[in-house]
Amino acid sequence: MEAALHPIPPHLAGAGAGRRRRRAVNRLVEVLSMLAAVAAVAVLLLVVISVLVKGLPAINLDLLTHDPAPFGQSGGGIANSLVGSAILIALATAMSVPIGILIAIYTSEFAPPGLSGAIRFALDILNGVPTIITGIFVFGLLVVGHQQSGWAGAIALAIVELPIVARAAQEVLDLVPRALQEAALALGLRRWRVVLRVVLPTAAGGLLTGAVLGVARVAGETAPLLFTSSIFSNVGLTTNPGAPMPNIPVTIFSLSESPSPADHAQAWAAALLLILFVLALSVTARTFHERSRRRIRG
Amino acid sequence: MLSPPNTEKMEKIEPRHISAMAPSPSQAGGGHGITVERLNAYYGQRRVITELSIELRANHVTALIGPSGSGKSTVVRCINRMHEEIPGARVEGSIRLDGVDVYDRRVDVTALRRLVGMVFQRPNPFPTMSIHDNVAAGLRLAGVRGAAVREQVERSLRAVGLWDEVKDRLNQAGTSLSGGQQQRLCIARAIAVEPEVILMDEPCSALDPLATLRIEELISELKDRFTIAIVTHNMQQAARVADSIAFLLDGRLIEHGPTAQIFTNPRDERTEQYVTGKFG
Repeated sequence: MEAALHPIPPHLAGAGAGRRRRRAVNRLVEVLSMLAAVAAVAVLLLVVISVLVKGLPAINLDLLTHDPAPFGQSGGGIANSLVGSAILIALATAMSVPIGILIAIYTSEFAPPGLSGAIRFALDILNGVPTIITGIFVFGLLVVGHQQSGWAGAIALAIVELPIVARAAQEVLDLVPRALQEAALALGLRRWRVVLRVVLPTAAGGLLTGAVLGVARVAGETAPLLFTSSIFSNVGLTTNPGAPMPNIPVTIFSLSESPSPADHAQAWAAALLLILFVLALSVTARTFHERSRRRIRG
Repeated sequence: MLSPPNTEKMEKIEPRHISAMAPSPSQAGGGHGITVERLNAYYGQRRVITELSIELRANHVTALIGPSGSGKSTVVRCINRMHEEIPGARVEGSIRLDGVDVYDRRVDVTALRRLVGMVFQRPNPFPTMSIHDNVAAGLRLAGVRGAAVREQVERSLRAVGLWDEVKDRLNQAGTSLSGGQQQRLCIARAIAVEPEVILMDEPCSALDPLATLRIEELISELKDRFTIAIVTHNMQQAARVADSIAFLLDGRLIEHGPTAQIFTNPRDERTEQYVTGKFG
């Protein structure tokens, strides 16, 4: 009724045929981009669900508490790999987190701007180095002429973890407002004390996030461990990094190559544990990240 | 005046109780003055302060006024050597605290900054520290421990009129206070280390009028104990709190005189134009 009383003049209504086509293109782009987003989420869900479906039946207490059964026998578990992975990740994190934070402190506080940018760039490149190359590198350095060991594996993982921790630490240290550092300097505190008592505590949440993300990344890294800590077929539960340590990624690989379906089931179960672990870490990292951002805003 | 300058108090940082710090040789009356002589300040090649000489009288409030970019903040940042924290920044000329050139190579810059405190434009309490720890931040560095810290924290909070408001929540975060309270907290933090001079860089510009008024009252009370320099955009504020006013323009000191004289009978035409609002 209104339209009849107040017709819309053509220059406001938009030209006829062109308008329909523009609307169609709009709609098409909207639909395509939505499908792409759906596809991404769908892939994630597919992976998680298939691992869940295949792995859940094989999860039982034995799996978590027993070492692999001797060759030919059934049963057994992956306890040695769980412990071995935990130790390898812990060692790698103990090496990469302090160094990564120190690097970030250097580039944020002390380095001249040009050098700071160059270090960031180098870290980004290190982050992109295929982990198999890292594995070969550590293999050549530490394993050739000696033997595989947990230490070599941890060092290889630490090299993978370092750029993640360092870049995340750099981002969060840069977020700490300059005003806080000025206030501390103007009080007569020395630079290192300012970093230790003011900058690091303020950035603590973000540093923790970086560490958690680093752990999530190396938890499933296989290539570095293939070269450095993969020969452990008859090794039971061990806590000695001087020898090759059983670990989840390599165990998944070798179990899936076995002819026995029981082994396959265990491989799926191990994969399920791994993916749950990584998911849990990612969610934790996100939570810390939110809290730390709120805290820095003050 | 001919004896060698006493740089000892600025050379070493030794843990010692604040209350035991000997008062330094100074002008008659026991206060501490700042003499700036022919200061030139640069950011790289760009000169932002030109041949500036000014005297900040002991136990007086000197206001620095002038349009944006006139160098007021830069001048005060040269006094506590915060200017040099900016890469590429440098200074020529001399700035003397009780006769000692603060740029003397033997002077330890962190010791200087405990004698010359600073309050910034936006309140900046340390977010990870409680109210108590914020005030104590500079104290613990000087080696003060235990009960002496608590006493000094209470004294400082009382001095800024914050004690009654926060005494029951000293353990809460410094950032849990209102803007005006945070700025008074920052002032308490600055005076806790018992400086000789307090530099204030537009301390009220981020605050509401009521909070501003409280801080202006505080400044009038504090000048009995400290020498104060305040940078301000607000001429009415300068008229309310300052004993003398220095007018800066384009990095130069145009005029410096008693408050009343600057407003009623300025010697320089540019001063008159600025204070009557013709520009700036």
